[in-house]
Amino acid sequence: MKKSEYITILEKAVLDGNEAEILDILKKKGISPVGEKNVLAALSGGIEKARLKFRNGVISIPEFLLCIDAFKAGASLIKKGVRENRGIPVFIGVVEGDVHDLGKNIVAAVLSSSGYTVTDMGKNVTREKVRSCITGKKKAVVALSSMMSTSLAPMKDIITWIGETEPGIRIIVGGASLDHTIARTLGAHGYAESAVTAPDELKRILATLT
Amino acid sequence: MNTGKIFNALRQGIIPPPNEIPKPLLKAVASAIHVRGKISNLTSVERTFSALFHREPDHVPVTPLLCSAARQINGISFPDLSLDGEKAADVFYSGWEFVGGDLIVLMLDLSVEAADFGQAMEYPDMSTARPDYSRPVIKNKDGYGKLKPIKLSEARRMQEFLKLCEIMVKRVGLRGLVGGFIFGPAGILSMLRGAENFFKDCMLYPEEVRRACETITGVLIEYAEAQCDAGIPAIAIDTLYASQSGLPKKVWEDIEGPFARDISNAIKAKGCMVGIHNCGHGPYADVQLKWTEPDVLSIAHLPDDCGNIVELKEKYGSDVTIIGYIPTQLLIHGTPLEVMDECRRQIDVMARGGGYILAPGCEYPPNIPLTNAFAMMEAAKRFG
Repeated sequence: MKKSEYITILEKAVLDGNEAEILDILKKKGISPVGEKNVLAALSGGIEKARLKFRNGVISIPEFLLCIDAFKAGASLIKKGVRENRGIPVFIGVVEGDVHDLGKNIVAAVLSSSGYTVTDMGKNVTREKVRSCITGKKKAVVALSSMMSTSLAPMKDIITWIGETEPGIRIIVGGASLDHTIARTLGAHGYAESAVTAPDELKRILATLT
Repeated sequence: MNTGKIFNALRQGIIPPPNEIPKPLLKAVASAIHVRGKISNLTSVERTFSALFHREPDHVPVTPLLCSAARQINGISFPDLSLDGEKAADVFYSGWEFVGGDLIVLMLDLSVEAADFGQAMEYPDMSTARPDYSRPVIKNKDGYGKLKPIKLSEARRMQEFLKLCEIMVKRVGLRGLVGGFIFGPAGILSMLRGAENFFKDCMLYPEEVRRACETITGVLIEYAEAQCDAGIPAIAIDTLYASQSGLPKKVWEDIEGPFARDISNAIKAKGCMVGIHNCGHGPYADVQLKWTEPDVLSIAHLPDDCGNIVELKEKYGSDVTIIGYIPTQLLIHGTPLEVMDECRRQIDVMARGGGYILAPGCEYPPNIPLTNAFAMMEAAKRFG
């Protein structure tokens, strides 16, 4: 099979949300014929196409989740060293007091496929958890999510602390209870309305990092 | 027309089941109220009733949907609100007395039913109750088939909710309309499985999910009937996943549509009114109306087939009374004047010809000051 055909099949399998097919292809054909970086690029290409289809309302959240599972399944077969260290580290989590992580999981996958090294801090994330992740990092992004308005106070606490102590960290927020104005009031550098806009918003705020 | 039910309710000083009264009579009464509203102030019940039957009242009815935000008034904790029907009634009643409103919707949290189906719960001090997703009831696709119906009489949280209904109906009496609430079967399953896994299961194992919806619906029908028996005249069914925040339209119709219909029919059989609450993005108003034929549609965002508020009024304004849809974010960060401006914008389009009740898109944010709730009340009087 030609390299280009292999890549196209991988991309399509991600776009179809077909986890079984991804694993089947990668195990049968192996990764070495095209190389790990190209496989990762194909998987990422599939997620990017899925993101655009999601933006245009062609696929729904559940279908996007299946695409993400297919992407993750394929990415898990690639060496950690190739998967990670690809770009600015992004630490993403759901703020303390909130456990709704569906949006965060989608954004994490989209940012990972966009070339960032994403660390998922999980749910109910406290200031201490964020501190343990970013201490010593000269440049990084902290992405905070909250669906519930009751988590806005802990979110503000984390943002204020980062602003006072970690000048190289940029903060992006998102979630159902937020909008641009609230993000600005909290002191965040950016606001992502959804997984669709997250990569572009991240690019915008990283341009302010020298 | 069940005159026994009507007189029994009036004798108790509570609102009778509205749909026990013949529709032509209700419409005639609504018209009379509309005329009375031109020359004098209406009561809350008259105002709401008039709007529900698509006649313009003296001013647009309003409900601030305070729900747990009203805890701030008497200092009752979140856990007590969730677990104690009497304390919950104190919260809702004090919210209504302090801030006002023509309609009170008894929305506690979305975990009431799931808790009784065995879901491990957390009851935080500063937030509403939520599932402990590290211990889901449904761990994989086989878990749907293992779900069994529960006895309503042994369902602790649902029983406390029914107590809340009874107390509120008696306390408010004929002074306001008290609405009940039920989370739809798909939503409950997502509490038992986790939303992400539930969504994927709906695509991969729809038959298993559908069977579990059927199991849950039997209990929900009993629960809805019990709310009606407690004197609740109208019940909101929350079908959150019938939206772009949830399932594809056709998938929702296959998985939850028929069961939402069954619950709706059970409520109507009791002579009560049906509302649909959906605070998701791009709610599928068309299919929700098709399956449940509700009297009321409560939304937080424009339906998926409406480009703007004018289209919303034109497409759905005559079929159903719309409740909403002041954005949560505006209530959080907006000044009272900004909130009133948005209320005015919506009232100007939606209130014409009745069929509109001003409200937040979803419950009032629990931990913010009540100032903007008062702003909404003022806006309804000033601009409505």
